[in-house]
Amino acid sequence: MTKYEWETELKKAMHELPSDEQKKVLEYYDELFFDRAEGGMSEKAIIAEFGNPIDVAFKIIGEYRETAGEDRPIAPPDVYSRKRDTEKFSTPDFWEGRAGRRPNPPAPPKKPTPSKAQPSAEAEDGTRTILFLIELFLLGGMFVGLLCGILGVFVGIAAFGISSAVLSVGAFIYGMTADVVIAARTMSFAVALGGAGIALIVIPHIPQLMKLMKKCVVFAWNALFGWYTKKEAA
Amino acid sequence: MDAQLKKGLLEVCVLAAIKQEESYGYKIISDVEPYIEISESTLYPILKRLETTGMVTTRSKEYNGRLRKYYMITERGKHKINDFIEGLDEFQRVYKFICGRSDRR
Repeated sequence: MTKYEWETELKKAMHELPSDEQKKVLEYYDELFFDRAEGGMSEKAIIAEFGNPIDVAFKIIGEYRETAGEDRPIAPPDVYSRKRDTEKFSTPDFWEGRAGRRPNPPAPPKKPTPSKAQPSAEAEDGTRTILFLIELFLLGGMFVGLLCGILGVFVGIAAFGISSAVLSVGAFIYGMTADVVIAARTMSFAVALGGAGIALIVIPHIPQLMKLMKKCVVFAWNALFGWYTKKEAA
Repeated sequence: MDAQLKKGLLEVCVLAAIKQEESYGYKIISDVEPYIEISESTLYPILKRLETTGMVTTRSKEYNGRLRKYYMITERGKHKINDFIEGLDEFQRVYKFICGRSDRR
C-alpha cells in the first residue's frame, strides 16, 4: 500500500469529521511520514507503522467526539460496511514487521435500545428506505428529463434552422424573379442560418454538458447514498 | 494499564517532552516511546486536546522545503506537570492502599 492509498483510505474513513479537521489530520500524518522517511524508513514500513487507516480514523473520530462532548456511538459506516477495504489491511503482507503490534479491531458499536417513545428501528429503516427510493427516483427523473430537454431543444433548433434555411434558399431563388420580396426573403434566410449556426455551435458541446450533468448526478448520488448508509450504520 | 490513567499519563509525558524546548510530532513520539507506549494515532488527539486546553501553542516552521508543526509548552502546561508531580504522593498512598487490600485477600 502506498502513502497515497493510505491517505485516501484514511480520508474516506473519517469522512464524517469536518473538512478542516480532516485536513489537520492529513497534515499531521504527512509531516510524520516525511520525518520518518528522512530517518531512512521505507514507504511500506512507515505505512505499516501508521497502522490500519480505518483503526486510525476510528480512534480520531472517537477522540474528536469526546472532545466535542458528543456521546453518540462511533460508527463510521466505512469501518463495518465496507468489508472489501478492511480485508486489504488484514493481509499478512500489510502487517509484515508488526508482529505483536497489531491492534485489536475496535468492537462494533452497540445499537442503542429503542425506547417506547421513539419509533422502532425497523420502522425508521423502512421510512428511510422509502425516502431513499423516492429521492433516487427523483434524481433519475431529473437526469433523464434534463438530458432529453437539452437534446430536444438544440436538435429542434438545428432542425428548424436547417429546414428554414433550405426553404429560404428556395424562396430566395423564387424571389429573384419578383423583386418586391427579395429583401424579406434574404432577411429570413439570414435569421434561419443564424439559428442553425447557433444550434450547430452548441450541439458539439453537448457531450461536455452531459459530463457536467454526470458530475452533478454523481455528487448528488454520493451525498444521498452517504446519507443513507450513514443513517443505516447509526 | 487503564485507558483513562494512561491518557492522563501520556498528556503529562508529552508536556514533559516539550518542556525544555519546542518539539514536533515525530520527535515527541521518539522521546516518549521508550517510557510509555505511544503511537501516531494516540499522539494526535493528545496534542489536539493540549492545544484546545491552552497547555501548548503551535507554530509552523519551514524545514527541508516543507512545513513542520512545532509545539511549545505554556505556563498552564507547566502547571499541569507540577500538579502531576505534587499529586504523586497521593497516588502513592492510593497505590499502597490498593496493594495492601489486595495482599489481605
